[in-house]
Amino acid sequence: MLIKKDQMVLIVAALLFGVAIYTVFVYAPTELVMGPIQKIFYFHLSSALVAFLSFFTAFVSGILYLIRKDLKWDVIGVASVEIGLVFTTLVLITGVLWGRPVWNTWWTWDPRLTTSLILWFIYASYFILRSSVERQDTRAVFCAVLAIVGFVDVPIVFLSARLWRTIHPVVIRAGSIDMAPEMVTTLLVSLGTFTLLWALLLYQRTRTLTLACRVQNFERQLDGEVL
Amino acid sequence: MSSELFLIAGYMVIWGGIFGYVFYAARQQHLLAARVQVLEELIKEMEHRNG
Amino acid sequence: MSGFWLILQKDLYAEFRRPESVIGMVFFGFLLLVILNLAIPLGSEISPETGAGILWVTITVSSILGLSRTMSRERENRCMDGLLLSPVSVEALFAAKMAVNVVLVLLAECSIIPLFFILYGDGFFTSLPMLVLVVVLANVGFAAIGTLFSAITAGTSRNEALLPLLFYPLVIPLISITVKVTSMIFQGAAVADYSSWLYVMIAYGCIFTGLGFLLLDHVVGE
Repeated sequence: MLIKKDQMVLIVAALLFGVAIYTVFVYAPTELVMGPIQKIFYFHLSSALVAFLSFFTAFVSGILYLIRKDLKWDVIGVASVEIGLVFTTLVLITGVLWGRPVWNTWWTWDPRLTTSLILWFIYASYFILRSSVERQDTRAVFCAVLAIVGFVDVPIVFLSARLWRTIHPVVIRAGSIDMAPEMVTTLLVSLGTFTLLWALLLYQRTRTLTLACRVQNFERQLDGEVL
Repeated sequence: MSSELFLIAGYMVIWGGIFGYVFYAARQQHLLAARVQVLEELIKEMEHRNG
Repeated sequence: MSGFWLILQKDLYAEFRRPESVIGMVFFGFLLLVILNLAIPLGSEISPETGAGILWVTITVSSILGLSRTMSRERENRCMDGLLLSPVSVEALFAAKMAVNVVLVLLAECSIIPLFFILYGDGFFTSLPMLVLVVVLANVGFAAIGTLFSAITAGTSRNEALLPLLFYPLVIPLISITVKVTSMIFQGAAVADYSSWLYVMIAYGCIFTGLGFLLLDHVVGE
């Protein structure tokens, strides 16, 4: 029964992805100023949403771990930081590829791009920290603290990113594009699709990591018995 | 013209990234399943030996 | 409260006897000021932004030497266990360690900042009280994050080498605000022009000091 439910969700996700691709490339009109490159915006923004959802989940599960001391929350935290990092990387790369033809430069110190870059650094350091602690519960506490402090840092990062370069090219901001109703629909479809994908990935990764954790503990126990 | 090229590159990155990640997750799960199987066999063997 | 003073006294006295942290920071800061000079074209004036950037790169990079010592010093001889067994509360421990960090970095800055003005021109020297204010506010923010994360890295296998990797991504916003405000001070701008950023710096210090108080208990308990 459970497997069937899983498969159902997977099929729905695949179908939604088809719909999302169709709406982006066929249904949505081509933007007049920027041309076809603007179509990258839908999945760029959706990836950013997924990354933000992930970091928020990591923040909440960090707090819950420190209160409950249940390793379940640690596993959810790692899974979400991992997903968040993957999608932040996608946001950065698509941002660069979008900026090149439109602004004629690979990188601008636009507040949003800068924020994404700094977030990428913060959460990449999460994995460096993780790899340098052996004990499971110590590691969980340290990582929870980093996830909490990192997320609290986000608004300040965004605020300060506006200062980054005072003289930067006049950029065409996503918010200032007059979006046709078809574009709004397209955006909503791809946001929905990515959110579903996020939920699926988080569920799947959490399950795998929980199992990995149990197997590791069991193997250790077994080693003890054999010795 | 080059604008389309960048669009294609962008989508390749997104799809490549997502599929790469899903592939990585699936592979980890497979490896784990193999480990669980080894453990199960080990336990069976031990039970067999103990009685 | 007495625990706070005792730890503060103990650490400052240890530093007074063998000033390894402050000397390390000053020496490294001096070196950085000389090395960063390579980036400036010969015989040209540097802009206030560049000057502020050079000053804060020097301070933040050299202060990591002092910050990373705070907690690892206690771990080395298992002094941390003794501290935790003593009736000193964890809050007092955090406050004391953070105060030590603020004082030590401030002492190092007392040499680094004059050296900066000597090497890069005293044309930037406009308002001493505002410069002191910015330096103190920045130090509080650095010390809050530095103290919490030096407690974390002291508990890992990589120890002090890990601190910069965790510390800099988190303090980037503070550094960028500080550089901006400092460059405006160097330009001789009116206080009203950057006072809103000073509030952000105060907020940063308060937020992360608060988080440190809340979280250090979990970290040193491990």
